[in-house]
Amino acid sequence: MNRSLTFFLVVMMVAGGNSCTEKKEDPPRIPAGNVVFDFSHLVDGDPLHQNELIYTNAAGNNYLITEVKYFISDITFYKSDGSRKIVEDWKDIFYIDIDIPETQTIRIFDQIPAGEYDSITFIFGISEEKNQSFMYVNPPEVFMAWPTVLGGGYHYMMINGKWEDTTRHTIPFDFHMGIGQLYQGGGYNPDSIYAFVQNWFIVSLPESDFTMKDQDSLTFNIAMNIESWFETPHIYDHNHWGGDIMQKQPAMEMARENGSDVFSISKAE
Amino acid sequence: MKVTSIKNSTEPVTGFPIRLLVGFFFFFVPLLASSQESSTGDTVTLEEVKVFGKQVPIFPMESILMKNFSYEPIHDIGDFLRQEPNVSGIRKGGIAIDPVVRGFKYNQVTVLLNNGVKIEGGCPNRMDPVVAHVENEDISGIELVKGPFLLKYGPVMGALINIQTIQPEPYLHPTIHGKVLYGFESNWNGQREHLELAGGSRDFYFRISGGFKGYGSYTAGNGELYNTSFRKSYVTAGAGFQIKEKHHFTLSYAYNQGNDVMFPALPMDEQLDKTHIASVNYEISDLGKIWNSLQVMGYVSSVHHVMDNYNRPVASIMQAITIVDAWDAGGKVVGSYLAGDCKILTGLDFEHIYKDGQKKMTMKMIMSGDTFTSVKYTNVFNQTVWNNAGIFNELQSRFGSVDFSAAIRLDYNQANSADTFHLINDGITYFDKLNSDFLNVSFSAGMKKRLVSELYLTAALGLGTRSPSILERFIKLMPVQFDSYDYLGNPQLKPEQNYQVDVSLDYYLPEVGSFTANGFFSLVHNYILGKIISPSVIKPSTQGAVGVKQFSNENLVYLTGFEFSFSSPFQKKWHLMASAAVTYGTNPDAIKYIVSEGEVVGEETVYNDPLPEIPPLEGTIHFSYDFFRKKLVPGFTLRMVNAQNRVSEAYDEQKTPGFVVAAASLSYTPCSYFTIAAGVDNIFDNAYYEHLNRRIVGSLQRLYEPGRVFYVNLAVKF
Repeated sequence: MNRSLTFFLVVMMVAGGNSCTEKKEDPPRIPAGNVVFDFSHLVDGDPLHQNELIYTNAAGNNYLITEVKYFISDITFYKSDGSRKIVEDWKDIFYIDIDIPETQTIRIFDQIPAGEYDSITFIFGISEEKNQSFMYVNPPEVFMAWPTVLGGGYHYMMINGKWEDTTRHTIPFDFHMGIGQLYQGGGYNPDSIYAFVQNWFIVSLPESDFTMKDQDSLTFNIAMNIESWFETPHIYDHNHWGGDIMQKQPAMEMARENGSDVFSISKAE
Repeated sequence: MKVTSIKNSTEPVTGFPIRLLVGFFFFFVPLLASSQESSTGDTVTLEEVKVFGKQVPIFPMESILMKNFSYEPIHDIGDFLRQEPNVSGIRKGGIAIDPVVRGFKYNQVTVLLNNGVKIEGGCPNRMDPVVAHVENEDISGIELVKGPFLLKYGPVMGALINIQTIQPEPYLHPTIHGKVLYGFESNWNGQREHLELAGGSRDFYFRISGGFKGYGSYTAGNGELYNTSFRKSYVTAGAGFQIKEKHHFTLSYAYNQGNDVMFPALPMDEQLDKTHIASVNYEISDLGKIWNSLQVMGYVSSVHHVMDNYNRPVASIMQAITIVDAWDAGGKVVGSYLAGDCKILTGLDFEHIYKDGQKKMTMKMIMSGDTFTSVKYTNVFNQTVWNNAGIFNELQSRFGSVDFSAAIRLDYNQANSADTFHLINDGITYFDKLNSDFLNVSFSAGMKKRLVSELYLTAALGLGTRSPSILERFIKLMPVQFDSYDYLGNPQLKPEQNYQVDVSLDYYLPEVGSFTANGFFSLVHNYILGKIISPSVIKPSTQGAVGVKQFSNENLVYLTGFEFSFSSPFQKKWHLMASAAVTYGTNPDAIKYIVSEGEVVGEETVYNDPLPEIPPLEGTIHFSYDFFRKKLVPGFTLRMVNAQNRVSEAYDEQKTPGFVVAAASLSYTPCSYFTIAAGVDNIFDNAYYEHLNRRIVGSLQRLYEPGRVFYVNLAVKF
């Protein structure tokens, strides 16, 4: 029995030889800091008042806003030396909703290397590669789904509200952006779609240079100036485009071109 | 798309009418009396001989005889097993409680039928663990081995549950026996009905059975109604032949079907689960002076599993249905022979699993007055194959006053998948190379020594190696664990290895009873746990899932604990059984993700973090007394469970308060053909939940255990 037990113990130790703890070497630490973005939503420079018919756009439409929700993605920090840091270590797509306060603060998980930075950019919406149907299954993001037959993926943005038409009636509008469609002939029959158009665009935040020091924590305020969606370079007239634009590529194209200067940034004190 | 209404009724879900049972009773009772007379005509009845003592096993194992529990309100084997010390279960609904033994769970616990028949459940969420594919009415016993010691039935890592179904048996003279069982449980208006017939002669013998179980939703002690209804139906058929003296050939078949099985703690419910199990067994005994016996057996089992979320509120946003088919086939050849004083068992076995399944998600969007429907199909498993071939040797001998047993087992394991899904991000490979194979070694050794009088010392050492399961290797985005994460398989997982030591003292006093105290220590290498993957790499695909985790190997974790039990002498009229058990699990270096406002903002190491899903200390006392030569037996059970405050910080596990529940029963057997038993579980209607009970989907509330349940069971045998 002694021999058997000895054999057993030897085999056990041999088999268990690979159970030694593997020591991991910690990689050398790179000097870096954290970034936080706080989002606000303004009209004519003042905080948005939801559901109040107090605003007038450049086309002269009186309007109110009920909902604003949108995605930004691929936030990128450009260094003065030409290098860049894309935010993707944890999340790369961020959802912002004026009715959900916690979505209005983005705490970037990624460590931003210390150094001098020229600018900050992000994609408004989601790039074609990443905008996949069914990638969100939980609220609130799931409510941004864009029908597969119309291009799939998710809305880039929903601004919902109402405007006074020429007869002074208050009409709802869904100022929605997503993948656009090109239709053969007249009308918007999905069966006549012959091409899709990616309407996402890159927002380069003006005056977004900054210096990151080791273990710094920087907070930036990013403001969406909602009236800008309806002006510069194009005057957007609700009376012309009507309530729904998700099947009207020319309207979404106008919104895309107006959107480049919608956002402004300032460093929090 | 069909959306059915939510089933949360407490109405009984009846199977075949009760009047059939009543009719059977009145029709056959007169026959029973006559059959009694005729059967005594050709049978010599011997006086009962009772031998009292205690068989002390070398390894920590328990043999449960189901006939001792025939009249208890058992509707689920997993639930029943929770009566055993250091055995608990994961509750997700009314049935299909998944056994956890000494903190080992899922595939760490090997569950099989009849010493070798295996079943691969179809559900990734384990709505149908192995124990859910067989009904307690068709079981003769359960062998429970706590540790990697018994290696002749296949690879065992943490524990073995060997369920013995009732097999056809030969009779000296042509005969036929039957049994009818009816049970009712209040609270969820549950009914179970069972019929069986067995008979034959020495050369040909058979057994057939069938039954139905229908339960509504139960109300917990807090007054809340939980949607836990289910329906199950089953049939079995078996035939045996004695080809010649000591050559026995047995064929068995079982069919089990679950319908509308509700799981409030899972994102979906079981719409349908169909299980077929067929096996063939050939045994030769007393072969000669050296070779003692030879057994050749083969089996095949298949599971067709359909689950959906059609009865959930989230179905208004997105409907999901998953269909999985699983096949398990295998066999073994085992021979035993004598080599000097040693009895040696040697054999080889093989298991092949094939699994394939798909999830369909449908989203309806109403935009600008138009309805748009988007549909997506994803593979949950894509033609996955898992093969395991093993050889084993077991030696039993006696050296002086020491009984000794040792076993060694070698397994070759291979798995593959036809997945087209690959995940490589930023140079890191998450899911790519699909093929993996391993050569695993397992072994065990144990001894038993009589120290003084009836005091025995037993000690056992073992290494159990388990290859990762199909689910751990290939699952794609299903919430298969206790946390609210979708899980991604890892084709390159390494096998888990459990090094375990058990020491036990057994003491038997004929006038007092038997005491057993057991302690164990397990060191698990390559323990499989989930690690978070960032949403920039992959996002969850199940509604309610907060993120994605991937199975990965932890370096080392350890578990330790003890069991204590006492049982009074069998020959007494009074019976007292008491037990207490606890397990502690520890992960020396666990990673905790720091979450702020729903976002992961960092991670840190938690040292000596308790392992998640480990039940707390608990104790049970059962007392019963035999009146009128066991014709009337009242019983009382008290179960006391400590609070579980030792919870995993890294897994953000919630603490569980302690509780005490009591049950009482009374069985009456006026003659050997008829028994009626009644009782009440959870007498004081306490509101409580076990530590392993899952949370209700979409909330932090745990699924409570049923409140007070009155039950009655009737059995007629002939």
